[in-house]
Amino acid sequence: MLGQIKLVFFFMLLSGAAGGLWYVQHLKAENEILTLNNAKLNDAVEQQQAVIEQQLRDIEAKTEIADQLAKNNAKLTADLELANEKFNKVNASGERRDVGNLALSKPKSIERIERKREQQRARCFEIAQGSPLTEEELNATKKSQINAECTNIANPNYIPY
Amino acid sequence: MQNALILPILTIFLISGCASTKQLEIFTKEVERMPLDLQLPPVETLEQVNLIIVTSDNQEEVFAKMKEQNIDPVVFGYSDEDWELVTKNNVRMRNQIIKLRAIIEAYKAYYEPEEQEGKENMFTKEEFEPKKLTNDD
Repeated sequence: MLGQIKLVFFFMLLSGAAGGLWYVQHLKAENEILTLNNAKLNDAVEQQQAVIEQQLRDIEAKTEIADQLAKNNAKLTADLELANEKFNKVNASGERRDVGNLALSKPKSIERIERKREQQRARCFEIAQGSPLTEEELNATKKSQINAECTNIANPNYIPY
Repeated sequence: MQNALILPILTIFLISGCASTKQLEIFTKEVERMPLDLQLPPVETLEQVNLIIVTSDNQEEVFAKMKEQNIDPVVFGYSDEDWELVTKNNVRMRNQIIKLRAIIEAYKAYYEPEEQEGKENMFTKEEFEPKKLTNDD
């Protein structure tokens, strides 16, 4: 009887030791997984921070682009106002320019001027499509050198005087 | 007596063995779309047209000159008021081209920055040489 009890206790101790060993190993494995999980979470946090930084950069880029487009559009509106002004310019005596009257009195001159303007308009369309500016256009600083139809886009260095 | 002791111990170990921590799976695979990278069309050069001013005084002279040059003596014209409108319409159309082009380029610069690096202009001088105005123009 005593021998049987000893045997039972022996097996109990043995299984307890084996179980303890297995449990410790299990804890170690679990710890490793938790360490890996922690690293992944840290990576995820870093990635999220990178995403936030990218979004901030995107907002900045969007604002910059919108500002640039607004500036360009303002220049284009100025070109349209300039075209309007050309036809409705008021002279020193307070009279509004009348192209019709000018053409009646000086048809040849107006024809010559309008033909030149037509060429300038054609060039403006090319520039509008992305054609690079020529040296002459870039260096134009005098009224006689500029493209009067679209000075804002054709002659960036011209300052009206 | 033996079973009464061994069974609960084994059950505890078995239950604790089931409670394992699962490894986290974070899916961060991003599949980037192919950039479209379309080029803007080449610059369209407009045909040179000659304007003719016809008034009640010079009409005979103009038509005679046209006949002399073997041009049909017919004129498709505008009044001075309409000519003003045509000119302004030209500016509006041109402005619209510039605005749309600027938007396309802004989109490209924003969404395809790698493709746009080093590209200052869509057109090289070899692709398009702008024409120059002559002195008598």
